[in-house]
Amino acid sequence: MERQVLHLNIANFMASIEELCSPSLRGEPFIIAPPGEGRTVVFDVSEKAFREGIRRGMSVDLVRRRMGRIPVIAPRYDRCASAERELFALTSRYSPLVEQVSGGHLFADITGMRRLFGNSVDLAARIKREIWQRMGVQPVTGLAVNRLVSKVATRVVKPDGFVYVLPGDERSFMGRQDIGLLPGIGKKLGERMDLLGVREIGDLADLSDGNITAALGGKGIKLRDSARGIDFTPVAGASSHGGRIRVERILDRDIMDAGELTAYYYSLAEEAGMRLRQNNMAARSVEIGLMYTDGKREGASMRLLRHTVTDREIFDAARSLLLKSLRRRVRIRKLSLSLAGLLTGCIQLDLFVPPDAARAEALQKAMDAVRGRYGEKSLRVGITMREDRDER
Amino acid sequence: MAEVRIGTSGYDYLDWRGTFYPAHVGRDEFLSYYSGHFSTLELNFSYYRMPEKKQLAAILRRSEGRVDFSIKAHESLTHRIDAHSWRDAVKQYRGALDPLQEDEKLAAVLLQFPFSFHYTPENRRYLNALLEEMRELPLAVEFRNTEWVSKRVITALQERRVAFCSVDTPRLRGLPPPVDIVTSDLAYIRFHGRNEKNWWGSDAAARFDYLYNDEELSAWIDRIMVMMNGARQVRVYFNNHRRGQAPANAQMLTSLLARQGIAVR
Repeated sequence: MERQVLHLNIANFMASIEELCSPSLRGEPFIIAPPGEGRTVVFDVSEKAFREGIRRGMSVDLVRRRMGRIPVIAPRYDRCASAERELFALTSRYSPLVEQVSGGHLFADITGMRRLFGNSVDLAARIKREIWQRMGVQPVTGLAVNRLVSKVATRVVKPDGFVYVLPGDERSFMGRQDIGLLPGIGKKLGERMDLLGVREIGDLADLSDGNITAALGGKGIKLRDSARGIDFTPVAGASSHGGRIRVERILDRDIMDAGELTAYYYSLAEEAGMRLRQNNMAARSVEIGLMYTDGKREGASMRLLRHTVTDREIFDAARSLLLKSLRRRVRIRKLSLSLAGLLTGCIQLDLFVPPDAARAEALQKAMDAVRGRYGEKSLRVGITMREDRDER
Repeated sequence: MAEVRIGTSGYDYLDWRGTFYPAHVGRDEFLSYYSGHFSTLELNFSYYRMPEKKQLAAILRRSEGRVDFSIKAHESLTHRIDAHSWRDAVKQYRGALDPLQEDEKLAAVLLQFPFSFHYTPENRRYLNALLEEMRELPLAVEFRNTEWVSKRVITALQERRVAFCSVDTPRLRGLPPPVDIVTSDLAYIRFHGRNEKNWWGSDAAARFDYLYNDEELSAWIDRIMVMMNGARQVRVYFNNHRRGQAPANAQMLTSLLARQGIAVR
């Protein structure tokens, strides 16, 4: 039986949620950005603003120079988190294999659901309609034999269409799409593709092993295979929450001192850790993201030996990644921390957890109890007070 | 919420007598009878024969103002394209539409391209030029070849406010896959039947000989409802015209939508 993987994406997710909260914004250009003067960057854009050429990551200053007076609206993190939970719950009614990716994306493996819910095209339409009726947003949907092709499919019919790529048609469907639609092709790689004369995904798919390795090195073959629609990555099941928790911080001043950055990362670890525990989850992967003042971005990730719930373990991983990533002598403007490989369920102390880890978890529990009673800032870890000192 | 109208591709079929047209209805009364049951009609004679103004005026009169029309483009614009004369054909075709436009009864002009219209640079240039020549008309484009399902094409249609026609066909390689995307104020859907056995290399009558069942049409309800959200007008036409199957299915779909609280005009 061919796999049937559905990719659902609420395009311009934060902006779409904002339109639900403020219907007068529908059809208007606006951006989502955190409050702050000048140095803030755009988190999300409305469809109208997108068509005017505004993109995520642009500085708000630049947007204002281009668009004049455009509403700049603070992100509603809680509403977005709630919408993501609702999206996940709704889709989970139709498949036990639903994987949530942040920002209003998810994958659902609907293979074998025919007897229960009809053929896959009909089921995809049903899920789409239910999301629209219950949540007031219309996701773009792509249906194909794997995650990769279904994701490219949604990029083709954005912002709110539906397309089904029939089994066996993957390569021809992908082949005529612009190379920029292939996941993994960012700005830098896109420029390389341009130099190589690769304009469409099919141009990349046609390259031999030798040619692609010569052009892009060892990783080129995987990318070339992606261009051929090859992807065996499974959709993570509902028993392990494939989503992520992401926190970020735009720095009040650009810095490059490792000590200062480390202090910020402890705060981020605390924030992410709190969200983790509030949702009764544990994380297996830690990822960091750095945005430099010249707009370049860098990221690194690490898989932990076991799932964790403590700020300390998250921080230790983040710090290790940070120290390995700091290679440029350019100041940093924005930091992010993501927790992935999430496990949902009753997180209990494991009899086989090493004693140190058990003590750390017990300490974390006690700290959460104090903060829960007296406020988040009632109990601070020393390193985060360095962050305060630097801001004065 | 968009206005939904459902009808058929063509109305002048003798084999509809006894199934859709009662035996006593004369051929010259077909359109009047049709207009009593459906509020939209897709004219397909215009593909075979360049329409004329007086002909469309007569059709308009016989419909007694109860129907709006989508009209298929002449084959010289889609199937037998002559690089030197196609612009003249557009002029002639456009001129014939005046009666429908003046009475505000023109719902759409359908440009239906064959499977052999491949996604080549030459064909892309032609399509671009054709859409430009016909830009003030409410256009819908139907591709029979899956090669045209690309981001670039969809974006171009969105920019020009041209409807991308969704089709229901057999699931055969090379045919366009299920695609629902609203690229203009008009959403356009055509049902061709799912006769896999006779699709390739058959005459049109055999190819479109199919009757949808309740389950197959029910599955479209969700898709239509979603498309209604993005469009102002939705036109749905059944092209499975053999033996009165098209009007039967059109009525079936109308009932199914009514059960969901969707009023079909």
